[in-house]
Amino acid sequence: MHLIVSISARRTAIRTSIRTALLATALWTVACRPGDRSSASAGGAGSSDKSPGGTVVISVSADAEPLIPPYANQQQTRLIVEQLFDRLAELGDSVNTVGDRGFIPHLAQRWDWSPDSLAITFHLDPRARWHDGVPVRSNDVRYTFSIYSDTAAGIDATTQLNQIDSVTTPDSLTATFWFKHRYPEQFFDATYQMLICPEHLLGKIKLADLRTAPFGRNPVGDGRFRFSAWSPGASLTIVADTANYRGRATLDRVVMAISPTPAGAIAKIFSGDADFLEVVHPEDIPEIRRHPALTILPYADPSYGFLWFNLRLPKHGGPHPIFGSRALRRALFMALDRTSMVRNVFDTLAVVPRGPFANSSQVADTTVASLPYDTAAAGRTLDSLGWRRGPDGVRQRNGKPLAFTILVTTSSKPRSQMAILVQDQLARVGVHVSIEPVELRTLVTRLMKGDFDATVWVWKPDPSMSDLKQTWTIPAERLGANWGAYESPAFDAQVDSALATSDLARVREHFHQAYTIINGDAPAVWLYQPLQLAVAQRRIHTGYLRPDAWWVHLPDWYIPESDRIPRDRIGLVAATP
Amino acid sequence: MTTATFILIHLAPGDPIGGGLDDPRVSEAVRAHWRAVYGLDQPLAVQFIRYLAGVARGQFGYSFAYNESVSTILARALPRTMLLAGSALVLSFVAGIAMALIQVARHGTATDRVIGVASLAVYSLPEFWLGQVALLTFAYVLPIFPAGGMVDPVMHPYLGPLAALWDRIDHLILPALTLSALTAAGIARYQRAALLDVAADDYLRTARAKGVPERSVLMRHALRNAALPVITLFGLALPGFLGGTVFIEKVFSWPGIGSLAVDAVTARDYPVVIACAVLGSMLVAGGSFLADVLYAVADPRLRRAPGPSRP
Repeated sequence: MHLIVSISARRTAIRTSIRTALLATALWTVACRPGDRSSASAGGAGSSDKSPGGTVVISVSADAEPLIPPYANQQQTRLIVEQLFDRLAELGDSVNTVGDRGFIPHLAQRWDWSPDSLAITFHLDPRARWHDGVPVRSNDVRYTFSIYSDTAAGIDATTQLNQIDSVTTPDSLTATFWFKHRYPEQFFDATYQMLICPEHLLGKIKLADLRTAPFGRNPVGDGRFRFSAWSPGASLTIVADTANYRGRATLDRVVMAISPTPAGAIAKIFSGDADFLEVVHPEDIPEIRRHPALTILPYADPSYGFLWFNLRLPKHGGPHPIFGSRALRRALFMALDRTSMVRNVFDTLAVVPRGPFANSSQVADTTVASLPYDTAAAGRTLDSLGWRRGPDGVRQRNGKPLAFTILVTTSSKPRSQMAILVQDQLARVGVHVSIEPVELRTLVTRLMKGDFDATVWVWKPDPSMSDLKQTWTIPAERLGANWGAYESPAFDAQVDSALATSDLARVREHFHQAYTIINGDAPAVWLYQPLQLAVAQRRIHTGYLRPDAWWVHLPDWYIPESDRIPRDRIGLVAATP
Repeated sequence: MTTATFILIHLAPGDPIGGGLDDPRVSEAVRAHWRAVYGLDQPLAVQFIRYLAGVARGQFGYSFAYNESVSTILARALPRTMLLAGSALVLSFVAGIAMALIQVARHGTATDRVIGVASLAVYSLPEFWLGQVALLTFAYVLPIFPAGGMVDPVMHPYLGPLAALWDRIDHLILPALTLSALTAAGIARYQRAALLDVAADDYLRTARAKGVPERSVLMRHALRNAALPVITLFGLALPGFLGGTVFIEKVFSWPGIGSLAVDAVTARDYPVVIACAVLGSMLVAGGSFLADVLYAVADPRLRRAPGPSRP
């Protein structure tokens, strides 16, 4: 009895804490609109003493891969590489990718568009230096484009750059990007997709050897932090570049400390060994709230989770016997009470998406129609398709049961829970669902081969509007993505039109139409869009955590002098060998 | 072992071309590029022959996940694991034998029963669970030890030699104690049984009759004669500890071979998996050899060459 009371009390505490966190999220969202960085500080109560100094230890679950910018895909690697290397211009907090509105000059002091908009000329900051003292010059920009765009390098950003024809360098401080045609995200592609690399250090390395070059273990960048030390598997340290052309980072040092297990990571936060953890599990929230030294930092998450149907059989390419039917997919969509499912799994730490987008996306559309939760309509549709309930309650047609399997990764608790709820809810309308838990790498392999009926999957789109094209269109399927094989020329046409338009209102209209089509076709059931909670020691003042890259303002994080602890006061003196 | 591991890991489903490349938006062309770079587009027989040829030259290949040679990775991880496993090995045998001696000295008393029940309870605990409980208890609830890692990642480079040594020991204590607790419980049970087997032997009765103190009877006479089963355990414990570190290293953020092996299996990093398996089998062989040597040291009768049998 005592145990039951304690569990109940603990659950109540978790729920109360989650709701408090959600309230904080709401207040924070209102107070901290993108672009309003002044009001975004999420650290402790208040000192604005931003004098240089301090150390932030970030707990991460895995080590970084070699620090070669073109190959920095994994999150931990991006976290470090994007501190060490600069782009020509950085995406603003509004995450606008159309034109150049909101972009912040980094390596490029300014830029000019050609009259026909087929070229953008970037004027480099003459003060910019690599950390070895060599000036950053336009040759570095040209070299960077040459490696990112070379298909022999095996870089996955290459396809995103195929609309850039070439890069020329009229002089040492000027680089001009020539485009094959005009499109809204020209500037985004020229800046966001590439971190500029030092030609004088990498230029002599064969492209085939670039990924394994020693440079990746001891990189020389041009960002506001410079590489300091790396103990593989344990920690990685970067320190402020005090002579940086954009001003030194406020912090002296950032240490990425690896804790492979969630228990290890949260223990480091509780004990004060670490200062920041990007994702907090809901069950840890009550304990965090009891710590006066800790603060919870809500931030938007661009990812969304969905039940993904495979519309095509893998072997002979014909339509899937169940999911090949649009009407049947719609019936399954309507049979799922997504609101209660989300509440069940996430409490208030997620919302139901209205389409294949997160609310933080610049092309999110909260007005687009979505199929309703209507089990009666779902049942009628299934009846009309000839799927009638058999003696065991499972629908049958021509002697075959209406049954399918959901593949789910063993590494994600929310996805497993969602699969169980889908199984339960579809059983009520006479659909038999089996769940097959598999390890993530196996799951991905089977998805790539099309060897699945359905899966619960999560996508984290990049800020580009073209993400929809990269994931749900026919060209994406040809490239090996779009594993569910959804094909709709009408949808593709709307997406293409949106991506060819510079007027944001018209872009939104085209996306609205595209979302309407895909929601009607129901190639997936949009299940959840999580909200993220990070935790930090209260002495750390983080500022705005951008949804696609919370680390982007790391050089401006600060620790007031009065709050510093011994590790904040080391300074930048060299360590003893 | 190399062949078996090679076949088994290749039979496991899953594509080794992963990392950020398992994103659906990464084109098949990029994946194909990396498969070709790592030779994964070749028939399995060709891959195997190439691999064997490399191993024969002392090269374990190149890690898909770390983009480093496997030898470099192992050379980095092995000393870390040896430090942890070696410390735990010594601790567990010292503690296990000490517990057994106390139990035998207090045979049949409440102390004997309490230690017996406690060691059985600890012996039954899953390593992963015990590790997490130890971490949360001693790094958070009672903040005596650091919450994982091999050293303080910030302060360690700035410490003097003695302080740096203490920092390393401080980070070692909790994982080593946790790892040794499980083995110590088993050793105590084996050693107690072995000591009780010899407890009634004539030479011990004679020693007691001659007035040798009970402590000396146990430590100098009984223990040496009851050491053989535990020596066997000692030889096999070294590779056993390698298995134990798989969980303990993960929980305590200790970047050694165990942690490396788990990550490699998850990532289908074939060369690293095979190298870890080969290393494990070498440790088993080495442990068995060590046990044989220690046998001979402990029991002079085993050192004698077999002579002609008497008529």
